[in-house]
Amino acid sequence: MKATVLIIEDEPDLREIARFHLEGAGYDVVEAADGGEALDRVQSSPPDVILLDLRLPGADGWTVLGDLRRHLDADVPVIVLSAHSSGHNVERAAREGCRDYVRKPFTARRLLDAVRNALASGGDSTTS
Amino acid sequence: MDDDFLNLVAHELRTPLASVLGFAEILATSWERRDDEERRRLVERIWANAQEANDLVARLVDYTRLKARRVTVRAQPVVLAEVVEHCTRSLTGVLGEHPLHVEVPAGLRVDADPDALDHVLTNLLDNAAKFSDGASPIHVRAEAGPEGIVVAVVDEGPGVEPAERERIFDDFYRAPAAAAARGAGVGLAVARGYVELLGGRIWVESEPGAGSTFAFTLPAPGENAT
Repeated sequence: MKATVLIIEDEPDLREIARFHLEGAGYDVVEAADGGEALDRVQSSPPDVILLDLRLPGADGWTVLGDLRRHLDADVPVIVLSAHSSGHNVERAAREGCRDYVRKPFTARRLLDAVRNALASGGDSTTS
Repeated sequence: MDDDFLNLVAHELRTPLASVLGFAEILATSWERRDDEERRRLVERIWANAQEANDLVARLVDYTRLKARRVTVRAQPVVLAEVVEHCTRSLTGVLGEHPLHVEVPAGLRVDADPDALDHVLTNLLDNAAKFSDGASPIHVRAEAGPEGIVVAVVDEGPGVEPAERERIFDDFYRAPAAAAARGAGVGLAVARGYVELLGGRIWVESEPGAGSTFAFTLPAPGENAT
């Protein structure tokens, strides 16, 4: 059975790019442009892994992460996808239990490695 | 230049660059599988995002030059409608689907440096296009008033809360409703910097939910005291 990846990203171009790479690698892809859409999607299509942008319209990525955790199995891995490269955000992602931190711009290889590793790993969080 | 500014610039440049590099990678790895129409669409997305990155760099250069007081203006009598026409012709990509209505009396003259005035209009029109729905109209109006010539850029966006009407011209300020918008947050600061160099003032009139009017004054020819 295909794993489902939820992309929470407000930039349509970046959703399209991520979708292209993920579908090419055999994943089902569900998209959300903000936190409200993300909560709808996790109920209609429970994801196996989540890609989360930090700067979103309305509630920011950290708030959305908290909302998602209240609605999802705690083991669903979350990967941050962000143009913020500060150590502060990377450290916070680790503290919040995110499995990886993929910086924009990203390559297909970097994105797919992150998703593959998150799906294969257990409950441990790691960042790079 | 402090770390916060560098981080902001880096973040804002990475966003369009992520699309440029992402679409370029897709094209490079799937060229044979895509028809001409699809290739053209992806190239156009690369073009638009590269243009956005370039515009951002230009705006940041403007901003840093203004802050360093390295900008000089040479005011001269200019026909306002001609400057507006020149400016809007180069902004078709920025305006997108927004219908633009220019209501500037023919022959109305202002005392201004045309390049500086172009910078003001470019930033105000970019702001209007960015923060209003894609097909809503944008108006450029001008009329003579007691303070000189008043030029206004009017949009039908969400409006500006009263508490934000002064801060919205501050460096890097983002209204809470615009927190996720792309850009460095210096466009209105740049507009204000140029207006003040031209001897005018700038302000916003708005009701939340009812659009915004960004207006500025320019001296009429013969009035310029700067």
